[in-house]
Amino acid sequence: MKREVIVVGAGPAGGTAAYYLAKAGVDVLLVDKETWPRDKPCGDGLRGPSWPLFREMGVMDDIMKYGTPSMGTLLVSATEKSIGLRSKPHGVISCPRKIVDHLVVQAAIKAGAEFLQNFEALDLVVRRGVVRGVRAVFEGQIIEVESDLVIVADGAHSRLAHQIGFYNEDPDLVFYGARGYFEGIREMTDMIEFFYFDMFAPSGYTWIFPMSKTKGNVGVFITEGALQRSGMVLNDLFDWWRDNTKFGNIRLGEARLLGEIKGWRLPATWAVRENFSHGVMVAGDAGNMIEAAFGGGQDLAMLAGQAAAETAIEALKQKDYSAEALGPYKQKLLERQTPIYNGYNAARKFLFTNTPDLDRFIDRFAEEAASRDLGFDEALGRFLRG
Amino acid sequence: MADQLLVKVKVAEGKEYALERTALAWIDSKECVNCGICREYCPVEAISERQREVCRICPGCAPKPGVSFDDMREISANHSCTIGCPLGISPQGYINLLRIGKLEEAYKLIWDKTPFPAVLGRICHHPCEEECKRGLLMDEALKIRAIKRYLAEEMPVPEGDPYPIIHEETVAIIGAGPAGLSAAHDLAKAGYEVTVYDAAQQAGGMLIRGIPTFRLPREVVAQEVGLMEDFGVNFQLGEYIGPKQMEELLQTYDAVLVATGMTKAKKLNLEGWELEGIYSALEYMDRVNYDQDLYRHPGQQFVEHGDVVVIGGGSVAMDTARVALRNGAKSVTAVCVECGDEVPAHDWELKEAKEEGVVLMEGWMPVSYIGEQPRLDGVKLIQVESIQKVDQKINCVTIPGTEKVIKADLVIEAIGQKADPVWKEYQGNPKVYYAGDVQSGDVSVVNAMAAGKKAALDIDNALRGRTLKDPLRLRTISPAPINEKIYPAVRLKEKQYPTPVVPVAERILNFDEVELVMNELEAIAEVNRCLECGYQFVDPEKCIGCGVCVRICPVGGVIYMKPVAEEER
Repeated sequence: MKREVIVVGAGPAGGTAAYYLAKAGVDVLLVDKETWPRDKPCGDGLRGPSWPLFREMGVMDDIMKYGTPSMGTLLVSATEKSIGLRSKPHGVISCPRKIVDHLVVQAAIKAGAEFLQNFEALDLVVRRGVVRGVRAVFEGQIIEVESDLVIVADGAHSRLAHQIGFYNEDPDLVFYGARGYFEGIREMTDMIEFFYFDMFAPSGYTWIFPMSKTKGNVGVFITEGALQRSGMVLNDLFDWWRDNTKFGNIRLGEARLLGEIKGWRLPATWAVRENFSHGVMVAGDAGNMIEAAFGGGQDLAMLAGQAAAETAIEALKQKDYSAEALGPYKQKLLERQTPIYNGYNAARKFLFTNTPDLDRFIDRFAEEAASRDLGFDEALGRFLRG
Repeated sequence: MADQLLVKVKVAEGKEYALERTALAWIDSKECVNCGICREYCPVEAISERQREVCRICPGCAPKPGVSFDDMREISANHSCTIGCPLGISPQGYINLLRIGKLEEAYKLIWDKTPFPAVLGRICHHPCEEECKRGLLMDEALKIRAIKRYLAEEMPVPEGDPYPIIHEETVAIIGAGPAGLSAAHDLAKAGYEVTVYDAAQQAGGMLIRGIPTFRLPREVVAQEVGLMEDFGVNFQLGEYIGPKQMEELLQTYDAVLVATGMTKAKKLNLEGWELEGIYSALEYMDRVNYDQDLYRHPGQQFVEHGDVVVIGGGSVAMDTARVALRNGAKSVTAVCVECGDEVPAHDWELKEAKEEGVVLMEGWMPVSYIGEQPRLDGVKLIQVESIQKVDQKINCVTIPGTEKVIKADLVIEAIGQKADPVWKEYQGNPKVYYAGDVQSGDVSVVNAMAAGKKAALDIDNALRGRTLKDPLRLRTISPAPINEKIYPAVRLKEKQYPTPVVPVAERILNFDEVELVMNELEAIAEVNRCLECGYQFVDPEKCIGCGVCVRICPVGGVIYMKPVAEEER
């Protein structure tokens, strides 16, 4: 049976798109290849831009219940200078993606979306250059589901985005992240912590997102190029950081890994890309929407999901599914995502590639940060202005 | 008229083209099944294989652990099932031809290279699976051999006249084993009249003499040899070729291929060698296969419910050990000087033998046979500290004082075979060629077949006065561009079924085949696990636009001719 919209992938982008479509009364089929709720390797940090969307979905209370709000950002440079920048009333909320993504999907279902899990989309059905649906494996059968529009949000290894050429393999913009939950972390602050290393510079950082006084989500974030230069296996970077840096030694010296370390590919970008074609819009990791400074993507994915839903609702009204009719999708992304990219890209320049700059930043604001609540955004803005 | 027949010669970029190059071949990498036929037919070697990178960076994304970036590149760029096959068959090719429903083409891809799809589908030691990138990087290798067997079972007789007689020269082949028969197949396909001689009454050589029926039923060999005979290869069986007969052959034929294998068993000649019940693996298998006097026949030379000791840890040792079990031995112990990974038998052979109850004693060396004339009672062993392999000879350092005697009513020495030295005499005769074990000392069936193919090519080149390149030498791989990368994360849900086998308790009671053929569901599931790492690529610099590749591609809709822009001509 033909549907109005199929959303492929039920992560932050797909779940959000399905929620806003269903809320507007659109016939939407949300599909995902995993069995839900599912674990997803991630820093688990939910940043400000996504909070209004959670509130609209009515899941913010649950997120605060299961999550841990951080009180700011701790930056540690490769020379082991550090600065803590406090946020008010709180900064990034750390909540396992297994819970967050599930809450969003539940909100979409509640709003009226149909959700099928273990539904493995193989490729887009394209007729006369227009995307007309999805071919998939479902319950052991290969099936074809037709639709007016498809929103592709099947993540960092997207098959569907590959098919229509919206897939980026630029080694400077492909990152790898790996994370594990650790217990017994020493001297952890109540802030999200970033430890930069210039060993394989320009390289990446280790993060710790606190979940309690001694438990946290610990991860590494590294560019493909830096990983290659390091010659290491991704999970060995944890040991390397613990054994070769002062902070690593303190934090992980006696910590115990809970479960296993899991990694994921993180395709990033500097700016909004052309992510739509006739009958299809691409959102989230499938469309390379991670920003390349901190590697955050969950908020950007949700904004894209919302924008795709709004565009789809308009297109369905006009019954026009051409690329021209979907043009507003890019406009909306430019309006909502670009400020985020621009802000973080400016930060990236000194955080990542230039230890002396980060040291100067720390030296300049350390005293002020200690005496009052100087937030990261404000300090960054002042630093960049000179 | 004459004007039109003139061949235009055009020079471009320093190269001369007989015809103006108006089009270039282009292969659609997404549709290409990597069978490699176009590469072999390309007259200018413009086609080569590319291998996609398999992403294996992240921990937790696949059952196999993540590797470093450089290792990922290295493994991706240097391993491929297609370069694993000694016969030059592309496993990815037939697997994916099967996947898209082109059964006949898949079968033909194999049969063009070997007359033994069904035999190899059972007993090949599958070096291709060792190279499978899914196995190296992701989870488990594809069961390529089992797929081949499924294909062989599904698809019987090749059509047409595969052995046309084109040339007047004739070739004799001595030895109807894997090497000889492979050479016969290739030479017959190339258009020669071929006659195969063998002293045995049945063709197959070690396929029927050495390999037990529970691994390879005789009918399977007979069927595939029968097919060769039907298509026109002459067989002279039961004919022993000695030096005198060899002279005759050299008179009659334009080329003689010696593929007589290794028919002489090596012996240990330990103290007590004269006691009763000490056999070489060959003697033992001959008795089981032909004389049948050991088969459930107590009281003669074999003691039913007796204890059997096999000396050796290779494939033959495991085979004979399992045969002894089926002959009713109470216990079978295999003794080998190697330990752990050094044990020469393949892992799966050891696993199957151990499952059935064979006890493996690693790191022990036999010293002497103990018994009271003429009866054998036991074998005296000594523990080995270290071994050194020098030119196929093993030197052992033993630990004094560790001697012990284990009980034995029957001993099988499976320590290797050697070629009959009589065949050395013809070396240097330009009409005589060698292939297989007689030449290489290698004991694997598929490598012997590869040697047969190589000899067939040499003979063809010599008889035709040409130097065709060995297709194996065109088989190089290079890394595919980064946008062709394969992500295991999206391929994890593909189901794998265990290879069907007869339960242990049932199978040790008889000589019936142990491993069974997959059913359709299992075969399709297995075929769908293929990551399709490789594809063929046309070098636009080398392509002359002849279009041969487009015509011979078994898939269709894969290779296109793209017009060359006017200014590029």
